Amino acid sequence: MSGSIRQLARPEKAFNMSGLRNGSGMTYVPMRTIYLHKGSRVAGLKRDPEEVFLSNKGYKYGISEDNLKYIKGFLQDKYRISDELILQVLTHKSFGNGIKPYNEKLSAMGAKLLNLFFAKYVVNKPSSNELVINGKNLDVLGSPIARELCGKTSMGVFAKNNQLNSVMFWKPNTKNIGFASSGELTISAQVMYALVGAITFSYGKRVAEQFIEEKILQGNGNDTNSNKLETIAQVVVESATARKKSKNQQRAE
Amino acid sequence: MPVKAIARTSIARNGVGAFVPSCHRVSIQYCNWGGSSTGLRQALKTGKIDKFAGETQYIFYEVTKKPGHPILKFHYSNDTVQEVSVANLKAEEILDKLDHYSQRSGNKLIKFNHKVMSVNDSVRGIWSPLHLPKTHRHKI
Amino acid sequence: MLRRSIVRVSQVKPNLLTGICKPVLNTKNIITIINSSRSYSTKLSNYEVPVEAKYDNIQDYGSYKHNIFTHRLPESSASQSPPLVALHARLNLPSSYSLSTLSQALNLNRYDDGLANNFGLNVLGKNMLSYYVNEWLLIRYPRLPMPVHNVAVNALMGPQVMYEIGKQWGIEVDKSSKLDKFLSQESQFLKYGRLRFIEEESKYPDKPAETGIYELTNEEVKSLDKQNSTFISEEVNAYSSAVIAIIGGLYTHAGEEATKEFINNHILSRKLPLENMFEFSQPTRELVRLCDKLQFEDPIDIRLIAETGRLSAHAIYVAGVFCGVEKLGEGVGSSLAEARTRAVINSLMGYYLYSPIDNEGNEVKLPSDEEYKFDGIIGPGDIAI
Repeated sequence: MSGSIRQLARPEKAFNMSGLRNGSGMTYVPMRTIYLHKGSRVAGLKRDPEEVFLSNKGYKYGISEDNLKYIKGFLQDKYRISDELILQVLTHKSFGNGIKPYNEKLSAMGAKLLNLFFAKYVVNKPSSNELVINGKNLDVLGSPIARELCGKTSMGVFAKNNQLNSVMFWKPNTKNIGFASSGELTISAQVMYALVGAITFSYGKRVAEQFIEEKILQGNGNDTNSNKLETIAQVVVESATARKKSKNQQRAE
Repeated sequence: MPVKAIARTSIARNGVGAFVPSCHRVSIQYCNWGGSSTGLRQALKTGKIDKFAGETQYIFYEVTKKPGHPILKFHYSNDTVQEVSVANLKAEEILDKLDHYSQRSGNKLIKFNHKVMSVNDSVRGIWSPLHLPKTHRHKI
Repeated sequence: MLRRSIVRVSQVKPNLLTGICKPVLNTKNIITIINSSRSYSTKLSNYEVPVEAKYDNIQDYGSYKHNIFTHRLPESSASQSPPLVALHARLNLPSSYSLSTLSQALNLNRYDDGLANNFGLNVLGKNMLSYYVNEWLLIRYPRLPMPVHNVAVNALMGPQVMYEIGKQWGIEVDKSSKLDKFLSQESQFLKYGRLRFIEEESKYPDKPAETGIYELTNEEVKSLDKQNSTFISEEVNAYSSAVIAIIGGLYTHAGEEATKEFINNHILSRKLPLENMFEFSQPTRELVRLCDKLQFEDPIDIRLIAETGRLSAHAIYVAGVFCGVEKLGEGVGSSLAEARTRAVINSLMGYYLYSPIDNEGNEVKLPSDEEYKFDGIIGPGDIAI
């Protein structure tokens, strides 16, 4: 156990209290001394941020090229967002007890936009179904693939395949180390939602939809199929149905 | 949990944004024989009711022929039904009734003796004697 | 296209033998309507529509087709339904919005004479509504705590509100059975304009309904809130589903801009009582933690601003919350503790209910607006105690 002592003082900002208390005219300099604690948690002691704000993979929280390069590389200049915003996208609620700006509101926006985008995307495909309404085939809505296109699993895998989840600030809740079992999958998916949300906030809905179309559906310009969302979603759905089938078979036997 | 949420429902402000007329169904009941229905029969026969229905497409009209005095029944969206007897009224008067009641909200008529009725808080807030400058405060 | 919002009913006479009104006169252009006053009890949930569908290729979205064999109502039949025509006019729907789609939005039954139900329209509408409501809240009230945000979303598009809207739109439930309709010689077109969610077999109750007793269905039991003993009834769910499906239908016929405007006019125009949605358990701790998160350098200080005097008949105190020289909030109370708590809550509410404005003092634009420019703030997330 060790600690450090830090003084918070702002002499340059000293202000006059005479506005508040008539006539006293004294100058007041706020000054605080804080003990920052290192090591195991002790109730009532403030922990040293040097130690608290480290990601589980050892990345130090903050705006640095190392932290932001994966997202920056993915967005490129066309969809550039501010560094603070990228850091917020990468920060989960569980990090540092939620004291840093985190991505909950961003991902709320992104998730809703993705749901809407893919609902529109699937119904607007040309169809021979006689139940189409004004050319839109609504029967596809609710199908596993339509749900999985914006689902947690495929979004998480997409983030992993595109290395977008290389740096994330979060706290694993279990000792499991698997991609899905440690919760990394969910957090990665949330980063993806938050990324779409951040673009929506920064550039508006039209540009964000263009971003989904261009970067997520088309797979960021490279030909490898494993980077494309639709392929990922298909694999996720097919493996889930195969698992279900084999379970049913086992039960039947 | 720092803050908990209390479930509430939003409050309708019909007319802010869209306006949906409250009266959605009108039942018109007349008698083919009785003298009290003469005016309503006249209104139906000359197509005046039909014309009115065409102008108020948002209302669903039912016309019933049934012995007894003629009645107009107005169904409102707050689940109330207003029955209006149109016995011995002339065609023009019946159309006035239709026009009048189909525009109502279905709420009970009340005498309102205050200056403002609002779902919003006062913009100005409540006057407070403690927020006056000291020189203006009431002194005992 | 013949659109009629008027129906004629012939003379009716009560038939004493059956107790059911039986029409005596019937000519070609006359349609009889007799509303059966039978009560109904529904046992099985029928709006949970299975989504089993067959397809050629998993990624060929156009080839998906539900396994249930259904068809769409022909427009010529739909246009002969007066309540449907009236509903179309009441909602000011564009003429491109076909009456058959509107009728489909009102149908929740899985097998309703082989007519397609509103499942797809509902899913589409829910996505639309969900996006626009969330976007509005996230931009207009960026600092709402997430629990309050979620409750606010529910206050704008939850089943109870959608039910109220459906009622306000004058949608009526199709309660009479086929037998009733046959006996009263009711026009077959009338039901196309009504909300259909009660399955045919449920319309023939095996025992008379007892007053004061309401049997919950399985779905309703699931929605039971044991603390307040409230539940979401099937009727509420059905209205909600239909209203959302009508919004979905608007997208299919009139596109997204029209849908957005419709949602703005009908849903986002409602008053949202946000200030009544907060419940604080430890306001002072929360405020201190919040100032920590916002990196305020000065400590929180709660001070007395004014009082009527401790010995006055009904003492009143005014307390203020200060952070350095900034005053964060103020509260009035009849004791020092009350004034203090009110002051703290006032400063928290001042933070949470903040709504950004642009340089000209107008509300900031939403991401879906034309010429959107980011003017507001992005919520940094709630604090944990």
